[in-house]
Amino acid sequence: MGVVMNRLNIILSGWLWAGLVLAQTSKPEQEAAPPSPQDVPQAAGDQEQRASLNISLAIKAKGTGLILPRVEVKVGAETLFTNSEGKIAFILPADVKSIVLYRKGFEKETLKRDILSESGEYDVFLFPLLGDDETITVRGNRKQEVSRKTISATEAKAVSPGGDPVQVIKLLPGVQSSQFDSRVIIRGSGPEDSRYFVDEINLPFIFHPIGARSVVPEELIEDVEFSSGGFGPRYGWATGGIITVKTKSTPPTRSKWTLNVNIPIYSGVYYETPLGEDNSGALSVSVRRSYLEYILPTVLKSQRDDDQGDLTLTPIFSDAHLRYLKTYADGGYYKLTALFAQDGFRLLADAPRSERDDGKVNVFVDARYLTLGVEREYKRDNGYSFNVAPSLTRAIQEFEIFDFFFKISVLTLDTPMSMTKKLGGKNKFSLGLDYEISRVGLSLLLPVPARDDPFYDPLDAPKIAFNENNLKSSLSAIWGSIDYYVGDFFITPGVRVFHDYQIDRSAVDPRLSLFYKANPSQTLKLAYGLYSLNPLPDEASDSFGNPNIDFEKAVHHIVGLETNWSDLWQSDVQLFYKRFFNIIRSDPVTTVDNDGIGYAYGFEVFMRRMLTERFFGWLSYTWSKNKEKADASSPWLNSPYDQTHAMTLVGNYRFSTRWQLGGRMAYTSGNPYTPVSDAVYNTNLDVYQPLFKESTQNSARLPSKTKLSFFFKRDFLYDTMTMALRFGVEELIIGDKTQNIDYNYDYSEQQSSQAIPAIPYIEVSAQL
Amino acid sequence: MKYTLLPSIIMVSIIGCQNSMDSPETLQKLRAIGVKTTPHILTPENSNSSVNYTFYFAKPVGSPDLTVDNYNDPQSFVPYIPIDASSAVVSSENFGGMDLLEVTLSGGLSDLALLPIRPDIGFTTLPFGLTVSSGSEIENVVGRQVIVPVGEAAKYTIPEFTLSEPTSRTLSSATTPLSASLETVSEETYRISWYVSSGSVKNPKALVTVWKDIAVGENLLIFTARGRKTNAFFIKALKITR
Repeated sequence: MGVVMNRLNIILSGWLWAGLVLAQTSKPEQEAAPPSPQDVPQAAGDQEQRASLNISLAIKAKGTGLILPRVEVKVGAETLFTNSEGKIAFILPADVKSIVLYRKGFEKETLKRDILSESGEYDVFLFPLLGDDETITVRGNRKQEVSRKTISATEAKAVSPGGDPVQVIKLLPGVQSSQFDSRVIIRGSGPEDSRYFVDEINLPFIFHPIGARSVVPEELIEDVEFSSGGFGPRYGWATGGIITVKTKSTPPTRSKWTLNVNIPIYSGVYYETPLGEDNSGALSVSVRRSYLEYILPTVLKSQRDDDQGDLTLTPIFSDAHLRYLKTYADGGYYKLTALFAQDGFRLLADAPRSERDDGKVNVFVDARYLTLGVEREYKRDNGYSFNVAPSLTRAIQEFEIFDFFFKISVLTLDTPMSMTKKLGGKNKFSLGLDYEISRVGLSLLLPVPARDDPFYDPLDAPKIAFNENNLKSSLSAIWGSIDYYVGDFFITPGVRVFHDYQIDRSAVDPRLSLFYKANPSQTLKLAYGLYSLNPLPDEASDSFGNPNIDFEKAVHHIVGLETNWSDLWQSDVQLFYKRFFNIIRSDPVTTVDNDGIGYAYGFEVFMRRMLTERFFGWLSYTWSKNKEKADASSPWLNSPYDQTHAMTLVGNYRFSTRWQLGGRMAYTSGNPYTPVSDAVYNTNLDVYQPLFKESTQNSARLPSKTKLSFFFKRDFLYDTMTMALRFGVEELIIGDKTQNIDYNYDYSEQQSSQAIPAIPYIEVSAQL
Repeated sequence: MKYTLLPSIIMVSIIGCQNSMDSPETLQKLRAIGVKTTPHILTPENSNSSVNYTFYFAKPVGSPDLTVDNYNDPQSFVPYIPIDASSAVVSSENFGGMDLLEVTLSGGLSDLALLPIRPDIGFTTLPFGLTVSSGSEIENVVGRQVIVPVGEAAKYTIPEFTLSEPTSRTLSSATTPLSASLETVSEETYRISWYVSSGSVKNPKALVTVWKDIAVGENLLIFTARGRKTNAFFIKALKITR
């Protein structure tokens, strides 16, 4: 579905703005030189007599309306400067024909006397310029982790699918995107093996399953951190990776509205404003909602033949946020965050397996959550800092299909807290506690598994009903780590001790990372860690699962070399080996067991051109192998996540403050699938059922894919408003367009289903 | 949120069904239609009796004759009802370009220990199967016999349907409505299927639907209904001329 929506993430409106592009041509941009005396026209003796004028100017930046202090104002031979409020008052002598305004980073502006024709107050807007291509945009320096990469929101927005910053992780090494899931596969670990955070708040999902976009408004994002493995003990209950969206921790300097209109997908509005006399606080709010449910049914109907039957699909996604930020002089802050996200769809279609008289099937899927989180960071002069980030999340997921339904409702209180003590130099000690308690409500009507039926079909099976609203699970953990510098070495040993109260088991996960600065430009990196993933409540349930189930485990081994080739160019090469054990598998006797084992190994190359005001980009390449087996006696088989090659080339170039070009090219090996070996006709069901050989599980592979995406973006700067027009193509497939393998009704013939063609898009947004 | 994947896959597979390369209701080659079993439901009292099977197939006229073999399930971990394929009797009736074939044989339960009734669901099942081929075309047909407690079997009767449309065996246009109605009362509901030798049926699983693109000449129209729980099976075949 994510694939479909990504393709449909296309904006068809905005042609009106295309006219504006043609009408408003950009000026050639050059950094303005300070005005010379020749720039300032002097009085001419033969000019007509004029009176002196009392002029007051308020000088601001074009497009944002931000006040500009220290603007140089040449009035005749006199040089003046605007005050801290961007204002200046002066007498314009009768013999001066014009004045010149100059500030570094802006176009030089000349105001002629016919503009300043009367005494009075004038607002003047200076047009911003781009900087040079050698100055690197500096970001905050966070704690090092061997496989962690941080991408600024500026970079991420410029290259990510749909301009959605969080999706930048899909362009980084070690990451695969699955075909029908908006979440990511990290170094062979399934999507559910990784955790997703907004600051310190753990979210049920960070990408809309329907819209594939992230649930966090892009204006709120400072940067995106992605750890593909070897992460420290601060994070637990994950064997894959950690994705953290860092929101801005500094209040804005002015109020701002952003309106996005995306037809036919969604519209959204975002507002932020500083609070307090010293602008130490901020409030932001956003709402976004899709309207595909009004458009897609008509589109689908028009594209289908009568022979293909009726199909009504009404997807919907929405999200909203509210955040209060308060900053303190000691560097600490307080964040109150509320996040809501919803995804779902209804589908009514002709289906051979329908139980209804009209031959149709009705599918309803809905996932939604509301999270309330508070984060307080204290920094003390004695070297201590504290972070407390409790959050309360209500998540509901339900689906209905045929006569079946499933609804799970989870209320989770998560209370991570941590303390850091500086030990001298750059050394420090960190200690944290994490307690999570959940109350789970589960109601369902599902088919009963019948393991003695070789042609078991869920539609034909008897049903089981279950309704329980007070299932409980809780997890607790304590962790600690030390950042220790010895000469050219930086070592971080750590440990995480935890307990799962539902299965009543405890475990200890040691972690270690080591950096060795071999020379000023090269750093050797090593990481080792044991990682545990707690079973889901249903897997550990007496009714549906196995109460004796244990944690899933993974061991990460990473060796890397980071090289700074210059201030602008950086590379990171990593070898990784992951061993999985205790993987939870279905079992005919105990429902589920921990017998599964697997491994993934490979190497990654990340070559990055650092962000300047004009250009940035990177090349990301991953080669990997991923195998698994159901138990120790079974043969090794390809994992469903095995993808040998994954390469992404991304880049963005700003020609001027008005124009930029961005794009990416991705090459990936095809995902594995299990071919049908034979088929039987089941007379009870009147359908053909495929047969698969265990030995050929995931033995076939879809064709590899090369995808190209690019866009142009044109900014229109008005006095206090910026409009942006973005147009381009998403995921233009070059070569084989096979999306999946389909079979005919009796599985005697195979054909490939083709990907939806790439559609050009136009998107309009406004900031004021 | 591990559960998000399941409905997505189901939905994609449903949409995928709409794009099948051919219509399963259109008979173009050797095609299994269904199996009538007598009795259509078993109880533990039947443990020493036999079951009579009639397998229905459609096959283009002139294609190679049927050969019948026992079905060997390479993955089975439960015993199948033994069927003696060598005793199969094949009869045929012509419907224009297609033949409707009946393969009759029997299976014995005397050597088979009937599985106990599962207390959680109130019944148990035994599988049966047969392999039929016509030249290079092979059909592996499987089904399952339901075993219910003594006294339960009477709840499940063999259905009778009336085909009210098409109203005539001779059609003047390429499209005709199809309509059937249930005449008997039972505790179970039925799966409906229409099969045609030319054209397509808009919704071949509905009681009331439309047959389109009917070819000029003699055509085969088959209506079947089968119990959702038992092997109660109803079949009606018509020769329709356009």
